[in-house]
Amino acid sequence: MDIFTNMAIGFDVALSPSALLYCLLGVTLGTFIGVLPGIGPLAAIGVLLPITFHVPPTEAIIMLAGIYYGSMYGGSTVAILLNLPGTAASAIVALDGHAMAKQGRAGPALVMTTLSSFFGGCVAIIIVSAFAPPLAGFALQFQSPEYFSLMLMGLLAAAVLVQGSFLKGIGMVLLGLLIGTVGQESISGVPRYTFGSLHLYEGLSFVVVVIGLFGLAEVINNLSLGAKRERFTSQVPWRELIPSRKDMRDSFMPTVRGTGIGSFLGVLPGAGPAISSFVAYAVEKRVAADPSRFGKGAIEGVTAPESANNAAAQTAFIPTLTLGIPGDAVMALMLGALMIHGLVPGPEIVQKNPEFFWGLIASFWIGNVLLLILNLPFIGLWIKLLSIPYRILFPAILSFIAIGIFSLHRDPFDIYLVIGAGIAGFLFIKLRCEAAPLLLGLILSPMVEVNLRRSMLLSRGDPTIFLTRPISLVFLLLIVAMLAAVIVASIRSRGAGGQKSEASQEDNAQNVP
Amino acid sequence: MDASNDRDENLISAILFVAIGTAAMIIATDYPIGSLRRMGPGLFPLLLGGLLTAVGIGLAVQSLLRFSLPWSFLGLPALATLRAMFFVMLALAAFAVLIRPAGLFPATAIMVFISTRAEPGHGIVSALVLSFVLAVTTALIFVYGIGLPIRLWP
Repeated sequence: MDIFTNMAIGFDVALSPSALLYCLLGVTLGTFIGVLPGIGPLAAIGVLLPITFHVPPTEAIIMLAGIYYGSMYGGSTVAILLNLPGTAASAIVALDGHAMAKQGRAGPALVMTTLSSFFGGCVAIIIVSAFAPPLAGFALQFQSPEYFSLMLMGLLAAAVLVQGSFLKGIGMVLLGLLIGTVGQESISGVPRYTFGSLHLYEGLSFVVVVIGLFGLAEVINNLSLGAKRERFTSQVPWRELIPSRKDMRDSFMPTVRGTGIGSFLGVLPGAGPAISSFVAYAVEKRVAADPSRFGKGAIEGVTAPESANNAAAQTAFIPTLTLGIPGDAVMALMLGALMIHGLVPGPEIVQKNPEFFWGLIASFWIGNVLLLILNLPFIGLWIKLLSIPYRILFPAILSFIAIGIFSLHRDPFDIYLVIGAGIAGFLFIKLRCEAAPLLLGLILSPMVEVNLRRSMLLSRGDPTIFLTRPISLVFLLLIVAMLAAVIVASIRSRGAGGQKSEASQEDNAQNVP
Repeated sequence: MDASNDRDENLISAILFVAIGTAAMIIATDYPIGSLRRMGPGLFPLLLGGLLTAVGIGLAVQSLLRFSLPWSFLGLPALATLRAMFFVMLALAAFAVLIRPAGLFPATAIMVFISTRAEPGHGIVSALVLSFVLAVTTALIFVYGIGLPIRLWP
């Protein structure tokens, strides 16, 4: 059972023609959508999700994973060239990347981004294959109380990391958990919150909620911005593609540091790629001899965060696959997709489904190679996509939403649900309630409830069971530490006159060219 | 983003949370609650509803503590937003109504045509062309490519 035989199993699966095809399809679609204006990775995965349900499970997940990291690559390309970051992670890359582009060094910035992403991804893949199986082995000891505390930690982390009010984050998590209870209750079969409608007996499908909250809501929001929506120009300063030797030398250590930071943070619940690129950027700024260069085209400001977010994107699969606990909303989507395909993520997946597990990991590597091939020669082509006007794009997105949703159960009722979820999602955007924690709550809801009920059964109704079991206690202590950190940070920021708002203003200023 | 706007958003969110939380609790009392030892189907939602209400109240208190002004948020949303929302929803609803009786091709074409009305910029001809192109493309992708068992025509 050493790592090499495992990887051999994996490459066997991932190099099969059908897996290769879906991997290529995934990274291409992902890059395509990452480059397109006005569609974030969550919306992208959501809209394409129904398509993958008509594909065999391993291939489907390989394709989804490809869409995910492909969209991250595409996102940073746009962020650098046009200063239009689609995600929080690429917003960091845009700071120095776009500055480089303005100096006519877009070529080196893009090439170094691709190379450092590739490096970060590759190292993280090795980490995943080394650490996932032992973690799965450890997790075999987990029983209901441990799982409950772990999920509580994940949910709280998701709420803590939202921008703005912490209470809103908690509220959205609770709302997600509540929506997750809709439908027939698993033990007694009592229908809950169905309002007498048979359509709701099976619960609200997370696909419907995702597409409504992220895809449709984004469409409406983009349309409502109207003239304020960015107009895209395809004028890209373009001198030479090849980075200088100095660029390479300056990038090496930051890439290594970024990879380390990303690999570590990616595993933590709630942290994910966005936070890790932010941390990597901050670290580089601190270790730099001359921090004032940052924001003005420092190559470390591009390569460190980029390697960090790609590393994190890979290691985020560790808890998702081995514990069944997704770290962020994208991983929650992956988890949901796995379950629809009948693959139950958890400690047993490594042993029971080695072809799937190692095949997926090997496909990460192949996907990264494909991205390298796709990105370097075709950067010019991706840029062209930006000139597609939104008035052509959004009807196409709507068609995909409608047909994709209908294809799930061939029930038009699902489309009405999407309309409802879309209106709710638009309201959340306007109220600046982030929908990602809701998604996490929705997907974990049945597991949280079942584990809570089993724990109470186990302890004969004594809630202190979560405190008396050591592993569970550790998770609870981590929760307390997290809450303490939030409270301390909020008191401090109030004392310092709202540092957070200053930082976000700075970001806004950056986004306006 | 000025502070008063931020507070209004929080207040509306708080009202939303309290309303949904309370409603969830009231409905949950219809389901068997059980005991802590043997939790019934009603206890978990009841708990969640209660927590959501509490969070909403907390959020409301937090935002009311910072001095109150008229709700800038509730200013009528721009006409363009309403128009976009109306046509996007109408387009999807039309698809839902038409897909069974009319099949994929007409349903998609009509949906796309309605959705182009969401924003000024499309002439009738370009909208018709786009509808046709997208209906053909999606039919190719979903029916011939993926092989979804959906009828194309009535």
